[in-house]
Amino acid sequence: MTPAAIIEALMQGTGRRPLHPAGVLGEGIDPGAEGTPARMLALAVLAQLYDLPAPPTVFDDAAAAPDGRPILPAAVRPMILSLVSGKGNPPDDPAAFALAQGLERRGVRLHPFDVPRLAGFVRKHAEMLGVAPAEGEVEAGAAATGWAMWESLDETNWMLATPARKANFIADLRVTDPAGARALVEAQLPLEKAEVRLRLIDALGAGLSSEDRPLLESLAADRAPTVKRAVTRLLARLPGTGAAEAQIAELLSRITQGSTGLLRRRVTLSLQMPANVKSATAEIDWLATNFGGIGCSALARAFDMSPEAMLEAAHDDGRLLRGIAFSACAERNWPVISAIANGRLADLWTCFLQTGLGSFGLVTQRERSDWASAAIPTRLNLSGLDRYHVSALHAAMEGPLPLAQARAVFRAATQSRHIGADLLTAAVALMPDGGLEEVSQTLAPLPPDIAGRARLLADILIRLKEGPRPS
Amino acid sequence: MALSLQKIEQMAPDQSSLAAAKKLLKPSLWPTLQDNGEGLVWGECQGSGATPYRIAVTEADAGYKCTCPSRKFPCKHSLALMWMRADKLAPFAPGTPPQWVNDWLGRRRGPTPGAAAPKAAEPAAERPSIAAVVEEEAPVSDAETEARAEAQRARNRAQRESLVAGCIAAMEQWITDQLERGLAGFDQRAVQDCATLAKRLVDGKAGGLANRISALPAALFRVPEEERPQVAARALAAAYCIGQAYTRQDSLPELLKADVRQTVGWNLTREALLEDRGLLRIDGHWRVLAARDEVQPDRLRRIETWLQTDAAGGHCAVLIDFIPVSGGAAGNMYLPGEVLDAELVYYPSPVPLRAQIIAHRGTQAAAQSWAGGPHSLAAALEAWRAALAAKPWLDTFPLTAAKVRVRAAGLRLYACGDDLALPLAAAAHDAARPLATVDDISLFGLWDGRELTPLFAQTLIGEWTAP
Repeated sequence: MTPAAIIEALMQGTGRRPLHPAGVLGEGIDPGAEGTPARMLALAVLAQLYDLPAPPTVFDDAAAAPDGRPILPAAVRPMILSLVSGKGNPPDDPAAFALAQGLERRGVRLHPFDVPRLAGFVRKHAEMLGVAPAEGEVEAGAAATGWAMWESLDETNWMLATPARKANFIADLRVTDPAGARALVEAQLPLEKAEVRLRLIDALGAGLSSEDRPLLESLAADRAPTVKRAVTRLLARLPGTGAAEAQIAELLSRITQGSTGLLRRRVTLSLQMPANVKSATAEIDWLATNFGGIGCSALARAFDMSPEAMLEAAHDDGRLLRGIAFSACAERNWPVISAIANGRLADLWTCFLQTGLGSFGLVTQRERSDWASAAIPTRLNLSGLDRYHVSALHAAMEGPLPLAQARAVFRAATQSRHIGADLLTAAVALMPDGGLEEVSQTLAPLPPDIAGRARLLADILIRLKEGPRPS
Repeated sequence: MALSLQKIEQMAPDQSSLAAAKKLLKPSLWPTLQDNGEGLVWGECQGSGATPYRIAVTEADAGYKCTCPSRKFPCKHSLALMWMRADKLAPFAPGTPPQWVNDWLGRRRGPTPGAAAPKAAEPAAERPSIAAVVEEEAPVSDAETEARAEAQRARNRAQRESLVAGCIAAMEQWITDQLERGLAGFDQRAVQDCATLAKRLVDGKAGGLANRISALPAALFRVPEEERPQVAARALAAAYCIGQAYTRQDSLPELLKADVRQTVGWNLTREALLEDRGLLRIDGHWRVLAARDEVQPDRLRRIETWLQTDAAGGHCAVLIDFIPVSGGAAGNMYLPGEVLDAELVYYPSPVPLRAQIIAHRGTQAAAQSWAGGPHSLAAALEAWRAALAAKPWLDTFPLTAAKVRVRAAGLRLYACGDDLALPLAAAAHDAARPLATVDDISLFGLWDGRELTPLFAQTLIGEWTAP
């Protein structure tokens, strides 16, 4: 009997298939003895052990595409493991996001041996990291290839990229070739899901002109409500469209013009909110929906004023000022937003965060930076700054703030009565490279339970900025 | 402020702790005793496990830290170290605090005013007393009593031999019954049947066999359903071999006999190991290649530390410690990448792997990368075949090989070299997949004849360690 035949018989059981010892393994074994099956089993198993498992006929070597990016500096490896793996270190908070962005910005990759330990982090930020976690070599290789491709998107391959990169590509192309970008979007839209259609249409907001009107009007009946709203918002920004005029007319009916002052009469504007809009949250939503689709210049013209005069007239009505800020954002009129934020409403930026910057068509990093420069005062003195606002700001920015604003937010975070690990970490995540050194020094004397994670993030980003050190 | 015996008495949780500490006052039990000249004292005390406990004490505030799982604070090791320091019972070599002492110092808050206030209010009679220990420990020398005790021990041994023989016969009958019913459906009845047999083996004082049988259901359910009958076949075959070898132990070579007795459940004490001058001893620098632990069915955490010496031959050794899970202690004392300067003694076996530390002169970080030894994969497999021939119930065997490449084929990974392809354990796939991106690996892993569990690798882009 061969070892395989013995094992096969024992699988069924000697009760059904009695063993008949024979051959080399069965020699000298009494078939009728009580221990014969166990003895045959031991002999067969040992004999099989000496035969190695059969090797595969083909290996998947061709699937392993090399990743040409350099591996991050060795000194950073344990720091990253401390930051985004293990208990109490979430892989999806602002610190993890800032780390993923830092790695992408520097063009370095995680050490391959760390990828399994950072599975949660890699899964959350696979797109930026260019790594597919634990899904086989084929996917990992494809992800690495995809990273190389994203670095050189053009008209022939942009549709293969991720939604965010598609939108960025279109927004950038709109600056140099608006018609070409429009044509690409028009051809691609029928093939995309609603979420991607929304991003692409928002991307058309860059360099918007009346030539985009036919395309936008053809999209006004899109089946997705989010897309429909985005199209309406863009149409409203185009002068002469019915959408903009109807919207302005609706607002004019709610804005009361008056005058005040004894010696020098001054025009005043006040907004009457709909009666069913009661909560502060609902107010912001209503203002964003109704003001965010029209330009503030068009609104000022309706009152026969300049935008500056309209601001002066609305000075005492915070709701109207917020609405004007939303309309200024729609037409990228940053000076108006800056005037409101610095002179009247220091917390204006938090109103934008409620609906998200995407709802104002702020798609590219450059536009978001322009918005932040205008909306966030550099003399921020918010003792009530909390982690929810700063985390939301980080999520909205999808990257660091301009240096002056980042410093203001960080300073406010250290002085906030809500100071804590999450607040400081989010504030550091918003800091661009230029401010990391001073942040690290500021955090050094603070207790580790409050500032430890934030400082670790700052140190990692500094090390990444410096690159590998000579050993 | 120096430590005093009065202070130690005050700190001791009970009289028995002091009594236990007194037994540890022999310098031979302390491979390491050092101080930094500024009131910081540390040492390593050989406990019942293979690896010594690490104890640190600060004289200024009588702060202490010990790696033992005791729930008494301070434990007997901390008390003994303080006692030796206070009474100058052993020389303390001057030195720089090692990393583990610095780690502890970094974590602790330091002296807390008032925290160590003397328990003056307690009646003196209720407090633990060193004098009382000394009285309790008065030596009793009585040849007749000793002879009686020896006779009792012999009777106990004979009784246990009888019990073990009985339960091994029961195990063989159980195996025969399982084979009669068929291995194909064994996994369906394994939990109940194995638990029943394991209880019988525990009653028969065959704890080692009981652990093997108790662990079988979990081992079965770790593998895909189609592989379970093969796993069961191997486990039952090994159990049968052990039973047969134990039954015929008098006809076996000495080392194999000693091995099978340990496998069944006869423990070797540290003292017996040290006394046996015929056992394999190797002195040198031992590189920690892997540290892993698992919880056994008997609620003990089994901690394995795999070492390789830099001496000729590149012997491997494993230190095995058992810690009660209920103690809450976890983790290994040694980390991959460390080098121990130590002398080890191997447990008697034709395939010597398990060892204990005889003398430990210190631990430091490895200065250079691991070369993987001179072995090729083929040579490593030959060593395994020889080991299997010498010990048929061999479970896992350490393979060290250079110039290995990890390659993927479908969903499986293989360690390849010398025209061989050893399948890697499925449980290690996620962690080991990055190894497929580098060539020319020096690999260390445990081979069980069916699959290789990679534990450590040296590659061109650095060290890889199994999580």
